[in-house]
Formats: sequence, C-alpha cells, structure tokens
Amino acid sequence: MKALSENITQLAFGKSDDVPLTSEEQKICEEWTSGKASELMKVDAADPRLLEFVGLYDKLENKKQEVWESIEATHSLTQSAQQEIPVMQLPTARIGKRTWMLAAAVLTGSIVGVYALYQFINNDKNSVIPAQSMPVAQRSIEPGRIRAVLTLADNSQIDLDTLPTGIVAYQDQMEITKQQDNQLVYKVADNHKTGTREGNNSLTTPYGGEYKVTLADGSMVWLNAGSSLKYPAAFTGTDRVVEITGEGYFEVAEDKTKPFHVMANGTEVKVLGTHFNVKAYEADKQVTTTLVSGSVAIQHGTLASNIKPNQQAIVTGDNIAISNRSKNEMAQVLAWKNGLINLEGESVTTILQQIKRWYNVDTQIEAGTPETTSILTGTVERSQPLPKVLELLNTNLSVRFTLQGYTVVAKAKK
Amino acid sequence: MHITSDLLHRLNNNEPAAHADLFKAVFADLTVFVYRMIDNEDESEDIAISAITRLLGKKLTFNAIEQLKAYLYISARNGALNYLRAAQKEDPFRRQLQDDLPIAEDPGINKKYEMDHLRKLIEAGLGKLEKQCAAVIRLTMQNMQPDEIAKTLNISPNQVYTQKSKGISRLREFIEQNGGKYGIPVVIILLMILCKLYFS
Repeated sequence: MKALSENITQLAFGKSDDVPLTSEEQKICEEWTSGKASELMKVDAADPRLLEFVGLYDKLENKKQEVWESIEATHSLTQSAQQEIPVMQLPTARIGKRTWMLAAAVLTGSIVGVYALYQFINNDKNSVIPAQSMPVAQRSIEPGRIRAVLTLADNSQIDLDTLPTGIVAYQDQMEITKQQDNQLVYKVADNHKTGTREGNNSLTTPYGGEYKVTLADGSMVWLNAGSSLKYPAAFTGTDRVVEITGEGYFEVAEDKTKPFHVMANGTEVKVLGTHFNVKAYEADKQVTTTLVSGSVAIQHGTLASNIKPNQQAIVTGDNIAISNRSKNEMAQVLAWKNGLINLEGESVTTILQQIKRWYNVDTQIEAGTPETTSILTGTVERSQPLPKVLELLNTNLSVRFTLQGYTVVAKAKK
Repeated sequence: MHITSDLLHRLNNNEPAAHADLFKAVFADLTVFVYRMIDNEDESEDIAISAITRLLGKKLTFNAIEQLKAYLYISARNGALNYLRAAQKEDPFRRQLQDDLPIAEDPGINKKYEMDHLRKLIEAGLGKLEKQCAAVIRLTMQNMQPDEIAKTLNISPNQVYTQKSKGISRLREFIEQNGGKYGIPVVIILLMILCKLYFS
C-alpha cells in the first residue's frame, strides 16, 4: 500500500482543503494507493500502438526545452505582477519559519488571554444575576457537527462520534468502516468475514449532527440534522430500497438492473442513478424531492409523476405539485449539504426549523409575527455560532430573533 | 519518470532551476500517459503542462519522491478523465483496472516497461535491423502514413507494409530478450557508490 497525504490530493484536484473528494476522485487515489497506477503508466511491449507512443515520446523529449521556455516566459509575466520577488524569499526561509513560530506564540497567547477574560466576565455575570437556568446543567449552544449513531441489524447501537476511525462492524459480508474524513463506508469484505446476516442498518443524526454514508452499491447519502436513513447492509434483492425521515442528499450509483427506491413518509422516489435531495421531516408534513441530475419517478398512493433536473416535487397530503426551480433556488435547496444555512425565500418557520435542527435549541414564534421576513438574502455558514447567525437574521426589517435561554424567539419588530 | 532525491530537495527549497528540471524529467512521460487515454496530442500536452505548472506558484513540501509522483499521476489522470467525460468517451483503462493486474514484479509475466526504458530498447533494437527496415520504422514513429513513407524512401507501399511488420516483430523479439538489460546503469551506479564507500 502506498500512502497519500491529503494536501497533495487536494492540490492535484485543484480543490481547497475543506472540500471532500468525489467518488471519482477517490477512485483515482485508490489507483495510486493500490499500486495499479504505476502499472498503468507503463506500456506493454505487445501494445499495437507501441511505435506511435515511442515516437511521440521521442518528439516530446526533443522539444521539452522549447516548451519549458515558453511556459517560463508566460509564467514570469503573470507571476511578477502578483508576488514579491522570489529571490528575496530564498535566504529568508529560516527567518520565515521563526516569524511563524513567533506569530503562533502571540496568537496562542492572545487566545488564552481572551478566553480567560471571557470566562472571567461570564463568571461575573453568573454571580451577579442568579441565572434562571441554574438548576439545569450548563450546556453551551454550539453549531452542529459531523456525528451520528449507527444501528446494526441486531439493534446494537454504535456512536460514530466517539469511535476511532477503522472497521466498525461486519454485516452481511459487508465491511463497515469509519473513514478519516468521518464518513461511513460499506464495502464487500475482502476475506468474506461472516458478520450477522441480513437485516437493515440505520444511521441516525441527532439535532446538531450530520453524516455521510457510502452504501453497499456505492451510492452516497448525505444526512442532514435530525434525520434517519434505514438501508440493508447489502443490496441482495432485485431492488435497492432505503427509507428516510428528515433530509438527505442522494448520489445514487447507476445500476439499471436494480432500481433504487427511497421511501419517505408514504411517498416513494424511484430512480436508476441520479443526484437528488429529499426533505421529509415529519414536522413539515410534506415530502419535497428536488432533482439535480438524471430522472426520478415520484409515487404517492395511486398518484405518480416524473420530474426532470431542476424540478421539484412537493407531496402534501394526496397531492403532488411539480415546479421548476431556477439555478439560484437549486443552490438554496442544497445549501445545507454545502455547509450553509439558506435565508433567501424562507419563511420565519422554516428558518427557525433549520436553526432548531442545527443548533439543537427550541424555537418559539410569538403571536403577530409576520410569516415572512422582509428581505433576507443569501446564506450563512453553518459553522458560525448561533448569536452571529441571529445578528445576521436581525438585519431584516420585520422580524426580531432573540435567544432567551435555549429558545430562539421570533417576534414582530415595531 | 525519473525524479532524483536531489531534485526533490531543490524543489522543496523552491529553487527556480528545479522547476525546469522537474518539467524536463516528467513532461514526456506524463504527456504520453495522457495521450494513451485521450488520443489527442495537443490536449495531452496541455493536461501534462498544467499538472506541472500548478506546482510552480505553490510552496508545497513533498516529503518523498513517491508523494510527488502521486501528485503528478493524480493530476494527469484526473485531467484526462475530465476530458473524456466532457467528450463523452470511455476511460480506456477501465477494463484494465477491473481485471486484477499482476502487481508482482515477475519479468516472466510482466512485459510492461516505463516509456524511457522502452525508448532505449527500441533505439538499441533499431540498430540491429537492416537499413531499409529501420528507416521504415523510424518514419512510422514520426507518425508518417505508409504512402508518405513509400514516397520518401522511394519504395512501393507493399514493401513498406512488409518491412514494417517485419521490423515490429523483430523489435518485439529484441525487447523480449533484452527487456531486463537496459536497467543496468542503475546497477553500475550502485556498484560505483559501493566501491567509493569501500575504498575511501
């Protein structure tokens, strides 16, 4: 096995560090780590195109000096405009390192200082005003993070939050691993270890949690906060059937012989291989399917319809409503998957629901609050602390959001 | 791709000349690798060049030659796959990846070589061919069509075909017999280092 360091893969794919790799990209990495890459780089002496390749190689070897000179010329043109002179940086390499350490020391010092001050002020507050939440155990309000509980076929539960990375369990000849980037992956066990047979697994995210799982067929599901996905450890039958409550984004691996079904609150979404989002929180009393690519069929009781990319199907009661979504609206639907809270076009209720699920707080809407805020646009990063999000929300004209204890209260602005 | 540890060291020190050396060490290998997938010469060069130049502005430290090679492989392969996806073509290596490749370095089964090794083998093999046969092969390698070759060498197209197939099969034989031999320089260098250590 060959090792790969993360910053190298991110640079190779031209991605910033926090963007996870797609399945295609992971496959390429596996080609390298499995050692198959160096075989692919070699050419078979019996290859019918051997002469063509060697001829091209020869030609390239002969012109590489020339090509490099032209690259250097264009590169120095663009580089000198944006960077300091590299010559200056060379001799300062060691000093540079020291400045870094100094900066780090100053930074650590100031963080400790600020934290101490913060603690001090907080303690002070607590002693002056006997907080009403005194009897309740202190719990700070934090944004959600990657965490979930896995329930195996025998109903045993595994908290993935505290579990170290590595093999989690064997189920139905599948090996379940928790990867370094905190996602769960099902794949056929190499040595066919027999774990418990058959039966469903389920992955549940609490409020303030999210998780990603790669199922036995290679399909990937991102699970939003307060959601649960039930699925067989291995897809052995003629169909692939999973069940969701809450919200999930699906990237279904194509397999025309085995249709993929998502069951959500009595609504069935049937696909062959596509990318789509399903939102089926019980509190919403509706199931919203938004299609990114491919095609899916929605069925609810006797009703059925197909939707195309950039369309949304909302099942409420016994009715399926289909509407087109603009590029902007699509981004809003998928905001959560990209680590954002969407504000644009959301009602006060839906904004509060997003906050409730992600920050694990209670919410309350006072009588007389308008249904929609007047004018909120854009998105907020989910990693932001709650007060910051509320501050941003309060830039709207009609509704004030305040945090009282562990409850976010919305009321009309006067 | 022959990257020395000295080159790696100079790259990590951000020496401008090291970038030129890296480019020259890997450009042809990467381009041919991409070309074998996408079958388009200009695009292959572009993909290989952008994989290498992406490193220029960055101050990334590679702690091993393998890591640098991994970076280059992943960049080039990803570039090629993106091109194939846009052109709606299949990855020609897919089947090869699905079959279990023999990873064991058994020269009996494995007749695969790195490009610069193959080039040396063919260069040596060409020296053993008759003049006309070698000329046909050389022109074929320059991507000339059989009728052009016939004109250039003033022979009949039929002769081109026979000389070509004869040449190719003789070259294959030569590679089969001598495949292991042209790795010798490495052994010599190692011996020299040993001698140096021993006698100094």
